[in-house]
Amino acid sequence: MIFTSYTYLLFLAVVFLAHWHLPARWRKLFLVLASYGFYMSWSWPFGFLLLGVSVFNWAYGRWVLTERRSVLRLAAGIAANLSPLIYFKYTGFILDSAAVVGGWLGHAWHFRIGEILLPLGISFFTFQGIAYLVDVTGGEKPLESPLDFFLFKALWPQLIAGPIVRLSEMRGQIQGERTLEYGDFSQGCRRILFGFFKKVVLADALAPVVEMVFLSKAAPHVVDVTAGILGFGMQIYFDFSAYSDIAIGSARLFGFRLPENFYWPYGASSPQEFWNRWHQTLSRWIRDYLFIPLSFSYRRRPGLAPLWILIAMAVCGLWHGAAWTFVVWGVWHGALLVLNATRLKGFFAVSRGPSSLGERLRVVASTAVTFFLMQIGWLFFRAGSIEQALTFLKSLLTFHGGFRPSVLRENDVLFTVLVFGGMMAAHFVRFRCFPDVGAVFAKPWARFAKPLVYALVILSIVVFDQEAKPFVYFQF
Amino acid sequence: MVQGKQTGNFVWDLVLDKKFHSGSTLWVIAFLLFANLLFFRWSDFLIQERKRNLLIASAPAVSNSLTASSRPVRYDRSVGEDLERYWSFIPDAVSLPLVLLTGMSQMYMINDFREGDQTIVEWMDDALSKKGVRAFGLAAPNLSNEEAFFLLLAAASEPKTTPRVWIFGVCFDKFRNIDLRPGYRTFLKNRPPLQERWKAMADRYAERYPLATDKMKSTLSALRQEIRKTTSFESCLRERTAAWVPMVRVRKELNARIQMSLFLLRNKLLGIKPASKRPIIPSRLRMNKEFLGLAAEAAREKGIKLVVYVVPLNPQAESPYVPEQYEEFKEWLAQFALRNGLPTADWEKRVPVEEWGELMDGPDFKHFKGAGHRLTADALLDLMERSGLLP
Repeated sequence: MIFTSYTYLLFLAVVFLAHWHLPARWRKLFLVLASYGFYMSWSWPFGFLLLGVSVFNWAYGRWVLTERRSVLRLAAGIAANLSPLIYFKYTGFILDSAAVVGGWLGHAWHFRIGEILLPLGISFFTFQGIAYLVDVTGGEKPLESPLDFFLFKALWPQLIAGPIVRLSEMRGQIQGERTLEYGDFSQGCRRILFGFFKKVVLADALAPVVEMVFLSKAAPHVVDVTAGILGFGMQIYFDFSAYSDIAIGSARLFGFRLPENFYWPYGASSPQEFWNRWHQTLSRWIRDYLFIPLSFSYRRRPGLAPLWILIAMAVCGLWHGAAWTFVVWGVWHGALLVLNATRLKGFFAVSRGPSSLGERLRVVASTAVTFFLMQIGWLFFRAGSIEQALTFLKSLLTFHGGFRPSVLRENDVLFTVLVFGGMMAAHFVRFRCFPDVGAVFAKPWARFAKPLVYALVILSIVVFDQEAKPFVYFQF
Repeated sequence: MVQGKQTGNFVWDLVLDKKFHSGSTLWVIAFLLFANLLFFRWSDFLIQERKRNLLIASAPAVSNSLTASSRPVRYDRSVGEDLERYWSFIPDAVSLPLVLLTGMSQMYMINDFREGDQTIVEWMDDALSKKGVRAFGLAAPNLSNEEAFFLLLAAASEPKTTPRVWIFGVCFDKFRNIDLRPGYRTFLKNRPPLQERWKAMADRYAERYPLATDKMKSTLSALRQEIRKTTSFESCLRERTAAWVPMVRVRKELNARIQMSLFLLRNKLLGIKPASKRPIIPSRLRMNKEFLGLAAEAAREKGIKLVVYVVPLNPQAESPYVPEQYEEFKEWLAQFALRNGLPTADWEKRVPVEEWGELMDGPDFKHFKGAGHRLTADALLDLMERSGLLP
């Protein structure tokens, strides 16, 4: 059940009405059942995997870790959480890589395995499970009721692709009494609506352009490569932030407040700021559960900090996909973060308050450079192989083919540029012209303008809908 | 919690809340109701307009009750929009030899339509029926070579639709197009054995036709994802919604209208005219050439005789082609036909000036009047006769 499908809207409406009509004591159970129904609509056997992982984490946190909080026990719990992820996601990658290494050493063997289907959302619920065990080991009280825990683990808006929630964020909402207020309802609907818009009207329209450029045998010119990378940078942003919007909006309709995941990431003026705005719940997971523990373990050797950044970001890359291109993407970002904190600290230092013209120009320059560096990262993220990424990079740096495209139609290039221009204009208008959006919408004319905009957004979603295309982040 | 009357039921409390009444929700509902009313009134107009844009205004609609046995339909009148439905009208190739004609809008669009005019394939069917052969048309606007190959593969996958002769009217500027249109994707989606054939062809010819086979794999992979994600329940729900909500019912027509407006706006802003010279993009040209090669391979495998010809063009209209590129293309097609032993012809100047109509306030570059259809049909029949393709 894709979020942008009619089936999901029907599901949401039915569950919403049923949930708020049920007596309060039944609501949690109902949401757990609805969440499992949602998950099992993809592939019912994987529902049992989710159930198994949930039962394990609940019992492990409830009895094993609370009985004695030790690093060894935590490590065993983490290993148990990682096992399904490694099996389902990385078996092929590990065997292929081993075969390559074997080849280098003169052993030509290849262990063949059948196709392993990847359970949806496994990367997300694995990270959530690990965070739970770490938090419990760190002293947080585990969820005692299995129902509470199953809801924490399976609540469908965040189940497939985040936001990656933490126990401390959800405990009160799960255990306390939830209510439905007009603000929740309107905010939830608004987030869902704009999520649909970003996904259906923008991301899905950019997808064919990107696919065409990245077809592995294509030999693109610099115009194609630029449009392809730019297109993918926007596609993945619109796609994933749309998912997060719909997730946050859907949860809001049931009285849950999920953490935000995106905040205008392409307006970041440094790689560090980018990661504070892009996939925020993953960034903090990597920071809190990987980078900080590594740094803390070697706190007497602060000189190793850049290495931990590189390792943390390489893991972040590998988490996204079982391929070396993702590892390179992660290391690229790791290197940028290291440079950001060391050699280029001065360049990326930014003051956001009222500033001189020179300071403003510097912000514009560092934002442009950051944007460019992020797009180079996306090249590795999207490329089918490292060779392809390098070919594209060469095309870009040598200005191969001049201004004439070799793969894309002129219309596709024009469309990509227009969407990019629109995104940048929206950013400028939002932060320069209307820094206080609330005040703008409080004006009398907004009373009619706002619903008119919403109605037009709905119309455009209906008209441009391409029948529930899957989200990019579903593969992770 | 909420302002207004408290009923103890959250949903009712929400509906009765003053904020709900003064907020945007009711206005949005009102705007959408109004929009639906408008679309309800305009739906016929929008549907007709889209048909005009697809150049199928002259084709009479086929009622739902019409069956394959009544056989008045001799080409896909949905022009690729609903291939599934028109597939059943293909004459049974097991009982009689079949000729299939594929190509772009020239195959079905009759400029200045007059009573008694027929399309190329209808003239051919009239003539061939007397010899115990049937002809059927599978054309669509801007048909790419990937689509032509797809249609050939689809037809060849069942004995009932496997033609003896496959004719493809090759149009140079269609070499800029790639991808299967939604109607064809739906058709492929509904046929797992055809998907397997598609994949087998892609695997078998990966080395000889790397660009085309890569595209085929990418098409299939996207399609399979769609299959996994789109359930029949979703399709049913969409149909039901379309039946009740005019805005959803005419969404394709609205989409087409917006696309057309954007197209015209682009032309106006960039000063693009029908005769503006636009070179074909190299990698697309190569990919489409490869697809034609694949079509030849698929036809050979199934014992189908493939015929390719350069479509007639209006000599009065200024050509949008880069002359050197077009000449090179024609030379390549002739060589391709020679290499593969295919009957071929260059009919660029076959249809005289007076048989062409007008389009967008100028001479129509590609669509002729009824007589042009007759002339092309006669030329095709003659070519088939000379090549020994007719019984």
